[in-house]
Amino acid sequence: MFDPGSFRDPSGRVLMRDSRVLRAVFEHGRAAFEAADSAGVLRRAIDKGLLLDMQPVDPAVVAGIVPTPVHVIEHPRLDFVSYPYEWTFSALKAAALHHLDFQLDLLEQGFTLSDATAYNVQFNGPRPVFIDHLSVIPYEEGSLWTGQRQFGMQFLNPLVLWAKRGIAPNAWFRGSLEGIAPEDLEPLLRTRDKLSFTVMAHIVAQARLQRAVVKAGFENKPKAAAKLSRTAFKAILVGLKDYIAGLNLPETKSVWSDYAAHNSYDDTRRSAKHEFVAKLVREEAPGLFFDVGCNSGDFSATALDAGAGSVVGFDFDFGALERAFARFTKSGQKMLPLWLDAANPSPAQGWASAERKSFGERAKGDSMVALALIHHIAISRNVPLDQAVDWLMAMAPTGIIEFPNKDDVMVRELLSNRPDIFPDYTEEAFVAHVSARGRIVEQTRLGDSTRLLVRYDSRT
Amino acid sequence: MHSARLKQHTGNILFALAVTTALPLAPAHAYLDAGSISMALQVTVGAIASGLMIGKLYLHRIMSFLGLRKATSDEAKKD
Repeated sequence: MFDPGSFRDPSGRVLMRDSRVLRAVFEHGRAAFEAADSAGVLRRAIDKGLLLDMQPVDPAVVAGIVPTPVHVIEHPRLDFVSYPYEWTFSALKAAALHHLDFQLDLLEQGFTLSDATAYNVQFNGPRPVFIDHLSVIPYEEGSLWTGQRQFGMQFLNPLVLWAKRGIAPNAWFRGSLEGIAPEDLEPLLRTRDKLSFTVMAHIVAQARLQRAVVKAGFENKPKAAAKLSRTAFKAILVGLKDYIAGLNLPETKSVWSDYAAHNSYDDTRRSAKHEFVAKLVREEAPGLFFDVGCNSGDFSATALDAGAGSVVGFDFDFGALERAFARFTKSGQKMLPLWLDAANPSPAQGWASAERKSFGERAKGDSMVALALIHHIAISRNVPLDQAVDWLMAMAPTGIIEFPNKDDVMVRELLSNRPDIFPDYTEEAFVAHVSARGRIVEQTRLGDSTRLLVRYDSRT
Repeated sequence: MHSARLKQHTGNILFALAVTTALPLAPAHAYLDAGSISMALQVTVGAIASGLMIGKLYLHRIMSFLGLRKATSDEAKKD
């Protein structure tokens, strides 16, 4: 009944009713919610684009739930729920800055956030938005920032690891849903990485004090400081904001210039492949479109131009994803590029293995394309071809899958250093697998005929 | 080997001294909550961050005054 990821805060729960997203506010969260709502704080944040929209609804729509809610609000449905371990560097950075901006904005109005979890930030295209209205609570003068460690573990530390050591934190973060602890990160940092007040204060000192306390015995645990002035709180937030805004991936400093220089999109969009994709989008008018193996988003752009409501792109290559994120941030179009290893998609995990949903549970689009991808799954990762077709076609009822045969230069490259143990990897077999799962609407051959584009429709 | 260990040891002692002079340490009968570490350091961190923020603001004003940097819109508003 309740969303299995919304159990942590007794102030309320999220629940779905007839595909409506509702949030029940319980007695525990009443005072804070009513204070923020009546002060106009929530509405102003929504108008500024900081917070997801909300509308009050009659609590009768959730009659019978326990505990009985004191308020019920409805939110617009997000196109796709993504998790920080699926984000690119720039997406995580944008989410971190968004959290700090929101926190600073609230502080000016006498409110604050009760926590700093990255899972409370979601994306509308490449734009972050805060989604937990019950995290907004009145600020009490002198109170400490309770979310500091969480902010470090889920935003700052993964970003520092990425920017300073060039190590993508996604696999680590995925295995450690609470993020990366300062005491785990600190030994990986070099002296020059630590030459900043932010790193010293938020990572090194935290890690060392943690070790010192463990060594000294729990009875010598330091007491939490009694009071943090509003000025000092603001200074901590501004300091983090300045530091994070200055973080960059060493190898992608010139994403923009490179992209402008090497972008052949205007030439290629006229090609048959782009037209094939555009035709699908024009005819199906998908609200949510998946671009599996999106690279820097050329075909996502084609889909958006042809009228797709929004695109979520998936790729394994962080460099390509960075370029896509930069490109659609600039264009303002609704495309979110996410990290995905097709042979090992995000699992259902967290408490009761249900707190964070699996990729498969979330990947339900209206239409999809998987171009130049299936050979990477079927040959590089040895996934039987019928299973690869199954997995792709389960993502959307309509779509296009590109099949490069064994004469294709890229497939030959994949097979160049290994024995060909793929007798079933043939065009005939591929077409048969698609036909067994849906109707083939149209197919076309590209270029030197080593590639077949198949458009399917699996609706009955 | 010895010098490295000595260095580390000295570092630990210095750090512990810094920590114990900066923080009120008192017995507490509870499990170690990692969040309390960050909370314990917050006032110190906040004080330094405040100093840095004011420093940055003045540096910015001096740079603007010398014509080395444009005033931000925030500062322009204040003026």
